[in-house]
Amino acid sequence: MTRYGSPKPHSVLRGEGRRASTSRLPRSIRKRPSASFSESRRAPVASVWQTPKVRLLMVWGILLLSLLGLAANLLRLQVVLAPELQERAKEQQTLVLNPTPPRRPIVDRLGNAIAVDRPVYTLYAHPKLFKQESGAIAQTLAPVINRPAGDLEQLFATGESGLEVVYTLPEDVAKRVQRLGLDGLELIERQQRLYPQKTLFGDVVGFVNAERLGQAGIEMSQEEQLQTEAHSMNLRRTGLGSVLPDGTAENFPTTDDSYLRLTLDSRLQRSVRQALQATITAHGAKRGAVLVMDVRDGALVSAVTEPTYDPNQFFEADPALHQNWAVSDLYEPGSTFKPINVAIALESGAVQPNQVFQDDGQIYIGEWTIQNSDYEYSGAPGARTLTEIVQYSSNVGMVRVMQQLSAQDYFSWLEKIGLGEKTGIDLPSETASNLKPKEAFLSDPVEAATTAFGQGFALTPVQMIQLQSSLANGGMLTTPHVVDGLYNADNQRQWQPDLPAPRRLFSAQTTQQVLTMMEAVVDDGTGTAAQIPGYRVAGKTGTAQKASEFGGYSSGARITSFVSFFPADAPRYSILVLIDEPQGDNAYGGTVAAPLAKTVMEAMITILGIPPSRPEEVMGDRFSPAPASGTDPDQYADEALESW
Amino acid sequence: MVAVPTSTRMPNRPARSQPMASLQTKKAARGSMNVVTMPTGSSGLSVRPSVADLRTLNRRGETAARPSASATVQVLPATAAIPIWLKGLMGTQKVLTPLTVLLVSAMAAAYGWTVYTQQAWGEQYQRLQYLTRQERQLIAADEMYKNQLAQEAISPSSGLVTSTLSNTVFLEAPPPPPAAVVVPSSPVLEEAIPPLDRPFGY
Repeated sequence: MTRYGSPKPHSVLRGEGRRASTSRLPRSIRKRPSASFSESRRAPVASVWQTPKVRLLMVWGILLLSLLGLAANLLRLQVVLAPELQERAKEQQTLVLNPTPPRRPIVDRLGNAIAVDRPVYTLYAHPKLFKQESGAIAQTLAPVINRPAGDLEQLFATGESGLEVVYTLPEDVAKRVQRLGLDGLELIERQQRLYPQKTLFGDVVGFVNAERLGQAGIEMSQEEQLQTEAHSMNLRRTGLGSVLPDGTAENFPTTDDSYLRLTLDSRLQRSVRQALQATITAHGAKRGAVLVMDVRDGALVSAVTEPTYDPNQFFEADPALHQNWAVSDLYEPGSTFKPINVAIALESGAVQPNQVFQDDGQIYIGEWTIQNSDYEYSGAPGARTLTEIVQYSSNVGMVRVMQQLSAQDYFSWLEKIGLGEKTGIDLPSETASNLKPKEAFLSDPVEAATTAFGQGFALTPVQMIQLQSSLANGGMLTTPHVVDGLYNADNQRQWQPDLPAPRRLFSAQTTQQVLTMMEAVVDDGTGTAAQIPGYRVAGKTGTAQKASEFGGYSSGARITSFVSFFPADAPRYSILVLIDEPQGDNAYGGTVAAPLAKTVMEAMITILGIPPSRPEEVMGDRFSPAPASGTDPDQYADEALESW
Repeated sequence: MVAVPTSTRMPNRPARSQPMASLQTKKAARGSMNVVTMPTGSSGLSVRPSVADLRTLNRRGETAARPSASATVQVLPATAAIPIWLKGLMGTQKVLTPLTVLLVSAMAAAYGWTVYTQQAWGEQYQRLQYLTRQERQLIAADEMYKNQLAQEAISPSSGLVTSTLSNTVFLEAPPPPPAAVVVPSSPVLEEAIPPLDRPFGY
């Protein structure tokens, strides 16, 4: 009977082991076992479990089992639960970004930004996620976003979640709010369109609405070129929140760096706008427009309409201003259309340049009376050359001139130059000019008569300058446009608008003859206010009566205009000035519009660098004509022509 | 005499290299000596006594109360030769161990490099975001400042006048050099030079 009762394998083993070692110890050293113990030391091996080999195997077995257990767990995790765990990991790690793509910037000819995108943030508060007292959070937040803390606290008390605190926070303030690290505050990024030039280009560039769709101007008409694709990005995040480059697209994170370049020059635009504002104020006019076009290709160098609005605050402006009236409103051109009629007459061969016509000052066509504008005090001038008719803007003379063509021919010419159609400018809401229907035109001779001096039909200012430019560039009808193209960051043009090729209206000889007549207008005609010393200017004044809404023409309201080509020896630019309803007795094209055109042209001299046609006039005695191989002024002009 | 092959030594037991014969001789010098009977386990593997056991033999060489059965030395069964498969495994282990060490260190290096590059990328990305933000803000601020300056210049209180013909200087162009062909440079974003003749001096 052992001390331990029924034998357990390990204790028996221990007992055995003890007994096995102690049996060899000398008696003096050995511990004195108890009596029962000494009895059992001679007991045989209780079970097979007690043998060392088995013990070894058992240990090995246990270790193996645990290893197998681990392997089984590994299998379970890697194979059985793999999809689920991968899902969870992905959820935690991946970050799906749907960034609002910034709209491409718009710049002017020189590269000054007209419209840029910048990110702004909307701040939301979720009071249920606040870790601190809402009062404390309001106190911390108030100085950063510049709101009274009391207001913020009140706001936090109104709801549990989704409270809009600030709609628009600039980027640096938003970063500061983020760095506060307060739970429960959320910043949502969006892009805001900024127009740094404010009112300077308001009428041309337009604005975008809250959904970032262009609603007016270039923003609307070039929507396709300005929008960039929205890429949804799947990014992986590390535990600290920084982005991992694995699995990102090839061109991440390069952003689209193209910009839309316009043909407008902001320096000239600013000078023109200032001058136009001054003129409108001086004459109490309703509105005004100045268009400056490069005659070679139809590019508008300056397009100013007044009044205008600031696209940053488009919502505060009268919605009627959102449309550029130079593109969308029709007006009866009046006398400025006469040079075009003369060109038509000359080109058709019905009239010779030195032909003389009878100008009676007043004629009757059917039941209508047509008279010169100065009939009251000039009476009947008598015989006038074609040049004089243009020079003194004789209505009756023009009627006589256009009577040399058949009404049929005249009408087909009017259609040929594009009346009744749009110009195709890349600004939105263009209105097509209107021309009376063919039957109506042919049926009544007064129609041809009134068209001869520019009344009875209407066209947009843009179409007017398009037609006038054809006289300046040798007879080609170009397409007016404002957009130069889409450039990338290396200033290479990637895309340009698809403009129809210029088509020929008149021969170069015809236009040269008309230009000479128009130079006479400025030298010694109704347009003397536009003279610039040292420069040759060709122009034509216009004072048109405005159609009244009750039918016929209103007696007081008129629209004064002046068109000029500058410099006249080798015209590069055409300028159209329109002043709508100037007040006062002496409000004519020659007195209201021509001086403004002169100011614009003087600005163009210095801004665009236009050399003088007659340098001796501006340089005085400093000017010395050099020998033939040097800088002969005529040669200079020829060289200028060649380079243009 | 018992030959004790060292290769079959059991774990956690010190190696035994002294032949029993010398021990026996020493013990014989001390007097009659008991023979150390090596108890064998049931599997036939020899269980050697520890050195401590041998040292604690009393003077008389008596072990604890077990009368020596015989005075002869029992020959231990020779330890079985290592089976081929075990030899093979051990040889494989010898080869694979340094390989494993190499691979593990290479893997550690690769992992470290991966983590480092990702971290470096992350830092550069942050920097890129910061720089683009700076660029954006600079452009916006620059343009607004330009606009403000221009507005101030136009206002009559600035003391600046618009350039008119009366205050413009015209200079003659010098004769062009005989064989020079000027190629207009491509316009840059900030200051494009319009490719046309302008009065010199500006």
